[in-house]
Formats: sequence, structure tokens, C-alpha cells
Amino acid sequence: MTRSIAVGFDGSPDATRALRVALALARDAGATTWVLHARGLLEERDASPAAPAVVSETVTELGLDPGRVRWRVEDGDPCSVLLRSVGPPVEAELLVVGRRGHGRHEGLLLGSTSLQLVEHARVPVVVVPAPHGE
Amino acid sequence: MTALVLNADYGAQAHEESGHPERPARATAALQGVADLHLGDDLVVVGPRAARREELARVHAAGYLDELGAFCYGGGGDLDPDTYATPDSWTIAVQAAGAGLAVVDALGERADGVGFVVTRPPGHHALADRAMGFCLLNNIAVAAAHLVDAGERVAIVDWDVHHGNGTQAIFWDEPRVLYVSTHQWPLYPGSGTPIEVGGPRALGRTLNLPLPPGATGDVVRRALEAAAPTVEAFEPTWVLVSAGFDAHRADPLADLALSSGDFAALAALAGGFAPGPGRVALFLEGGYDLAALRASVTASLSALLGEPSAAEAPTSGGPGAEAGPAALEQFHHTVEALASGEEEAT
Repeated sequence: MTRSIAVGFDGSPDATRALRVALALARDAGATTWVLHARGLLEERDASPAAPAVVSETVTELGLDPGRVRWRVEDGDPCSVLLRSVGPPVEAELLVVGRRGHGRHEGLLLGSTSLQLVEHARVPVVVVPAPHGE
Repeated sequence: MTALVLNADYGAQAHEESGHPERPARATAALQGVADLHLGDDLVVVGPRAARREELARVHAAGYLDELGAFCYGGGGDLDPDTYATPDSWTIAVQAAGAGLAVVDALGERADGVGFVVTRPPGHHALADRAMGFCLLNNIAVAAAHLVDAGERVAIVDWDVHHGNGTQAIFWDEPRVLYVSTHQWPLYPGSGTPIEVGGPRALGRTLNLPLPPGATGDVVRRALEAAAPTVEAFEPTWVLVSAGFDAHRADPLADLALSSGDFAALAALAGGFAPGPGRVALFLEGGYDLAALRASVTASLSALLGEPSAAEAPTSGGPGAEAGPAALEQFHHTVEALASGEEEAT
């Protein structure tokens, strides 16, 4: 049984789609969802941004217990933050990430968090694609 | 003593993105810092060269090298939220990695002098198969692997304000490389705790000394002094320094509180780990305030060369006075626990 699901969230449409999938999976599994925001080199260090409204809105829409959804800001690049989340305190047993829309670098491992995660993760990874045409 | 400086002149090629702090002016500022020493004939400019594929492949995955080249030649773009590449970036990154090779080879031939590798993009965040944190290829790792291949034992001292996760990961299980890092924590990239001590073949070959925001020069010096017995016990034949200057109090990307004078003290400490002349080289990593970068380069090199400089006064009194020694204690406990676990398992 999956007890902890981690989803990468940067506020983008891809991340929002991934968030919905992660929350739906967590609801069905009775798991805790960790919504992880990777704070990069160029972000303000003092600011620990609060969870965007879309997180709580989606939680409400899907009928989840808000107490089972945790928002966490972690220093690092998105891939490293999700890979680290298999350890404490998150101890993720499933990683969820959005995949960018079709671009000229599609298929390259380089620059693709989803492909990097699939390559390196020690737990199952769910990759949420962009809708066809985006 | 002679300073061997590599001035990578990229001509019309550009690794630059509008508004990004990792910009060409950084290399110019670092070279101005060298010029401020007025070394005359004691300054030797080493010509750059491109790293060969087999030299890069000692530390980077072949597939990554192929993809990075293709990505750049295909027009470049963003590799992650922090890291960019341009159509010229592959050529420039290969030159940057080759720069370290050129300097350590020149030092080795002379058996004298101090090396300073002025290149960009920086390298210490770059993983074997992934660019990150402004870094494309891990320049210092390429040079260290080159030396290890020649039978050397390399101590890498990383005083950049960010943990050099890429260098640590590349040499995680390599007993002939000792990686010692002082860095602000918590901070990007989020790694660099004292319980990260190396892989099963290299237990105790990774030593992380995380320091709190606001730490002053005395705190960083104390941490590096605490690491001295570990470095001396390793008996390095070379010392390479990931010389980021973003721990300076003026730097916009971090919150340590060092002055240029503190970098002189750190350089003297790191230089003291080298077994003799011609066995220490500094690699430019971070440092995003141009004036602080320039002054800190001057101070660091002057300390290594025994030249006078008018650096800012060293700083003291910041938080974290015990952070370095405490991290060292945690490091030793972790190494002992892992070593005894290994013995039980065998």
C-alpha cells in the first residue's frame, strides 16, 4: 500500500496537471501527498513561498482531507528534490511529475525532469503528459 | 613564486543569457583581480585547450556528452530553472574543462607555481549525467580524474558558498580523491550534510562542513582548520580548490558574511595542504558580485604567492562558531558506524 506520494510543483500548467493526478491517486490509496516546490539558485532565499491557491482548491475539489496534503519547499533542482524525497521526512513511495509539452528537444534526457526521474528513481514514477496538441 | 593563470579567451563565442548572474563579466573581474597583483614576469598565462572526449568521459556519461553537444548545437535553451546553454556553450564548456587540464599539466611540468583556472561556466554542481546550478561540465572533477589516472591522490577543497554536489557525487566511491566542502546550509542544492561521507570503497573521503547563514570568516576558517587532520591523514599529492567567491558578504546569491581578507586566510589554509610547490590550483566556481570577486581573487592569490595585498580585514563574530567542529564530530561518528556495519556484513 502506498502511504506517501510526492509531486513536483512549480506552478506551471504541467505541474498543475501532475498535482491533480497525484491527489487523485492519494485519495484512492489513502496516502499522504507531499507537494514539493524546488527552490533554485535564482529564487529568493528568504521567501518560503506558501502553497498557491490552486493546491487548496484542487484538494477541496477532489474531496481530500487537507490534513493529508503537505506543502514543502526544498532547496535544489526539481529532479534532485524529487529523488531525495524517497528519504525522510517525505519517504515517498511514488513520484508524480508533469511532462512538458512537445518541444524541439523532446526525447532528449537532457533538461527533462520526467525522463531523468524515470532513469534514476528507486520508486515508481508517474509521468503526466501534456494534452495532445499542447 | 609564479602564478599560472589560464585566461580562456572565447572570442566571438558566447555563453551568456540576458540578466543571468553567471555572465562573461565574471571572468573579466577575476582576471582584473589577477592583474591587480602586478606580478610582471611572475605571471604565466597558459594557453587554453579543449578537453578531449576521453578526458571528459572519465567523469561524465557518454550519453550525456552526446546529448549536451546536440542540445547546444541545436540552439540551446534552459536545462533546468537555473541553467542555460547557448549554441556556443558546448564549445566553451569543453574549453573550460580543458583549461583545468592545461593548468595542472603546466604546474606538473614546472613543479612550481600556483594555478588559477579562470573559466566559466563553473562546474561543481554538474553531475556525471546532468547539468545543474549554472554548470554544464564538472571542470575540477575532469582535472582531478586526470591526476588520479596519473597515480596522484587529490584533495579537493570546495569553499564555494554552495555545496558541490556534482563533485561529491562523481567521486563518491573513489578512495583516491578526498572532497572537503564548507558551504552555507540550508541552501541550494540542498545536499552537503555531515552524514554524507562517501561510498563503501571511500568511507571518509567526503567531508561536509555546513555553516549557518551569517557565518563570518572566522567560522569558515575554524571549520577548515578542523578538517586539517583529515586532509593530512589522506596525504594528498595535489590540492585542487573549487574557489567560489560567493561566500563574500556582498554576494547576491547567498548569506555568508566573508570579506576578501577571509579568502586570503582560506587560500593559505588550503595551500598548506599541498605537499610542495606546483601542486595547488584554484578553479573559479561562483561569485556574482564583480567587485567582491575581483578583490577576493587578488586576496586569495596573494596569500598563495606570498605577495602583499590590501584585502579587506578578516571578519569574525558571526553565528555558527561550533558548526565546523560539530560537523566533523558527526562525520567521524558516521564513518565509524558505517565501517563497523561493513565489517559485520562481511
